[in-house]
Amino acid sequence: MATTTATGELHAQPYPSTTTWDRTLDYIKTTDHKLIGIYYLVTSGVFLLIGGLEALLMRWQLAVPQNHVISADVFNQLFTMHGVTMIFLVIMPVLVGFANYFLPIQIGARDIAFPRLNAMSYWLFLFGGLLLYWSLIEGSMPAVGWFSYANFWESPFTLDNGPIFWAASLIVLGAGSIATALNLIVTVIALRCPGMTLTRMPLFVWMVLVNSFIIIWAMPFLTADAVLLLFDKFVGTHFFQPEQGGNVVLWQHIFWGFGHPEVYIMILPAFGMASEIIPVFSRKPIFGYTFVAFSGVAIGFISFIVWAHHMFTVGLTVSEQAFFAATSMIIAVPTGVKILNWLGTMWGGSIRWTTAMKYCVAFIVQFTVGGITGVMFAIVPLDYASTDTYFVVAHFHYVLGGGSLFLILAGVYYWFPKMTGRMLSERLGNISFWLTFIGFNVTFFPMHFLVAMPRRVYTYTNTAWAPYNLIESMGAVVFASGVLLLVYNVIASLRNGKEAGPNPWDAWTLEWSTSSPPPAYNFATIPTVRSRRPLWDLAHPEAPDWRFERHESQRGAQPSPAGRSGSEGAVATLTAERSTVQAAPAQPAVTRPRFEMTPARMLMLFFISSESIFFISLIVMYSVYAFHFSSSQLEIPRTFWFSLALFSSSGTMIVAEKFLSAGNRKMFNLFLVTTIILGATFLVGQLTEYAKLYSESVTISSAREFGTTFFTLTGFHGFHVFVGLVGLTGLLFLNRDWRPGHESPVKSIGYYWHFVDGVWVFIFSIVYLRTMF
Amino acid sequence: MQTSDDATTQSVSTDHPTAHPPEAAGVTPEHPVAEEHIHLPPPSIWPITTALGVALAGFGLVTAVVFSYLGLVVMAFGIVAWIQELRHEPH
Repeated sequence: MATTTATGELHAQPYPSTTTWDRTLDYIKTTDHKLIGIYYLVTSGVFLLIGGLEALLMRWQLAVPQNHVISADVFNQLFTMHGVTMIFLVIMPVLVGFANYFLPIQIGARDIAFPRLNAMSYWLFLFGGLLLYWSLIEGSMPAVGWFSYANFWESPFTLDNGPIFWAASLIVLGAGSIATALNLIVTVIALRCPGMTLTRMPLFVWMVLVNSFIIIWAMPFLTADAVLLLFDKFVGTHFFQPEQGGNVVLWQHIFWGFGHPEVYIMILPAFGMASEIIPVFSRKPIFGYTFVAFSGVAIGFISFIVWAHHMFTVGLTVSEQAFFAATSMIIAVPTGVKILNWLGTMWGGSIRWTTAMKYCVAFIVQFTVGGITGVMFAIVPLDYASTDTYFVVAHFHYVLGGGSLFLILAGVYYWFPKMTGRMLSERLGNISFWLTFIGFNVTFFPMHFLVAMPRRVYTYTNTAWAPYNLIESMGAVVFASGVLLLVYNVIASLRNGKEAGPNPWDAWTLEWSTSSPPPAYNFATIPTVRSRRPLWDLAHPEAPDWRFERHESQRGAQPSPAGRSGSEGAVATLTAERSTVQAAPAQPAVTRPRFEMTPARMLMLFFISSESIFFISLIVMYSVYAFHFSSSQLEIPRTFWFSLALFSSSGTMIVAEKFLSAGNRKMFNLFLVTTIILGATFLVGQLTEYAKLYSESVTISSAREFGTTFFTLTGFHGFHVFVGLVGLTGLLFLNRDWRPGHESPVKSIGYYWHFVDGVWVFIFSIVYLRTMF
Repeated sequence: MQTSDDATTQSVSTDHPTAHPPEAAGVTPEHPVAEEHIHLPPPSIWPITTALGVALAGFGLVTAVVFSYLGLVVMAFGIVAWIQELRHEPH
């Protein structure tokens, strides 16, 4: 396994590559989760500089009124690309990068569950980003906002390739994110080391887990929107063209169905990082572990039912407004709980003012400001007044810049020593912190006062806004200089930073028990943990956490056990030591989590849950338009017969699996072939139906939306059937010599096949049976 | 590349993450313990191939559609080769 230190030399590699080409190939082929984590961080660091440059150009243009250094068109491109870059190419991948690197180590695993899939995710991210920026070379950068509202990108309004770049790259990036999220979920569920129960996982792991679920359930909305965009552009559908019966608001609903969970995707892992860093530099365990973990879960759920607060001005009904106003206020509660947890952790602690800690404290202040303005938008009339103004810009920059980005910077200072073996210069770090802190606030705080200035205007005439804008632009330069200083700090410290040693911060989670950087396989011996702070236990055998855990943990707060030693402690330690040597597995506390489910099947099930969301978007789309049309052209009895073929193929698949587990290879093949034939029958039936409809000139681009939605929904299902058939056919050939010891993919592909059949139950009911009533 | 054959394991008897100086973890290979082999997947070219295929398919939409077809072929090739690699990997 090729792994690298910061200086790029390869170690732990038995057959060292000699030529430059071989070495490059090693980097390209790597499946090491740590190296891939560093790839993520470096790549998104570069994108951060690009996105920051775009912001600086905008600030240059806005510094004075009636400025004309940048044209209106370029300005549109700049704010669109700045948003898309910062969201999809900076904050999300940075957090994924940290999760990639540290999540497996923090749960005591040697690797991520699917290392090759993980490598693919990274490359999808890189290529997706390059695809987006290819638009710069083509001269048609997307210019319709990061959310690409449908009325802006539809052909009469936008004729260039910008929205297509947006959609294509977001589909690629989305695929990568979903793959990573699935990978991380399975890793957490299946690969935790002995003793690493869910309630002992580091909070970063908790937040990444919640976050991964949000990703797999929210990203498909975006994918659906982007796919429909491409359909409108290329296939001639008109989902979002009102004059053809389409609905532009539907785009917004589906987009924000993704878009608001996305806000939490960008902050939750950062919350996790704060919950790791603040305790270490307050020299106290986290205050209210359970609250931090479960408020994260609550945020995850609620984040799916707040989306329409982005759309109050679209014109919702009163009850809709009331609902989304209420949920938007409710989601502030678990977020506020976390603020309390961090403050409670710092309270009475002996705080070490490292750069990482300073960033965390700045985060708490700034995020609270952003959170308060966020709750203000839940007040609907206030939202009417402030929507699309600089007040909103101030709000989300305080949340994402002052929140996520500041925590990411904290994470860089905290984990850099572990990743590279060298300390970042604290002196430069201090200067850099103050530059970013002052720069950030000078840039974005005045925006709160510009509640009358509209967003996304390339210039303005109102001289009353001029001083604020000038100050903001100057702040942006200071902010940028702080970020550049960090870049310099990283480069300089890689060369001649202080040696870090394994645990420079005297921290307590498992990553600090390895060398810096950790070996390719993370742990020579898989660790066993007994508490949330395994390294505390190791350093303090007289008062380990696990002695107090059973009594204290459920109540949340864990008082520091220091000073609780004594004779009782000594006895306990002795007992504990004997038990670790002799009968460790017998102790209930160290039983290894066991699952019937293999990782591959787990991956498939979660993937299916993600796919379901995609289908739900399409079904919603169909149902919304279904009011308009009569589908008298549909022949229900005929469709029923070939649907029956599909449904019965699920049964034959189950029988096939039964025969396989009984070892009857011949009958397995027979029933597998039957399954394939039945599935193919369905596809043929569907194609003849399409042919008939086309002969009656009901096409995918026919007006009034029946064709558009019918062919898209059933067509995507048909495509899934086709993919399932490819999988089943693959089984027919591959399963013969699938080596013993490798898990056969029969079960996983079987799951997928049942899912495809199950989706058709819904589609058949909604599209066909509904018309009978 | 490190496969199970040449993986290094350490004979450290510990329940704790590190009962030995942490710097030593993994850097100094000792004699492998019989039952515990560290299995890490070998490096693979197919993930990047598959990802390239997907991205090319998207690239074709904004340039020439031939890239999309090429991308799909590359993606399919990547997936098939990936599966072959999984099947023939030593356990």
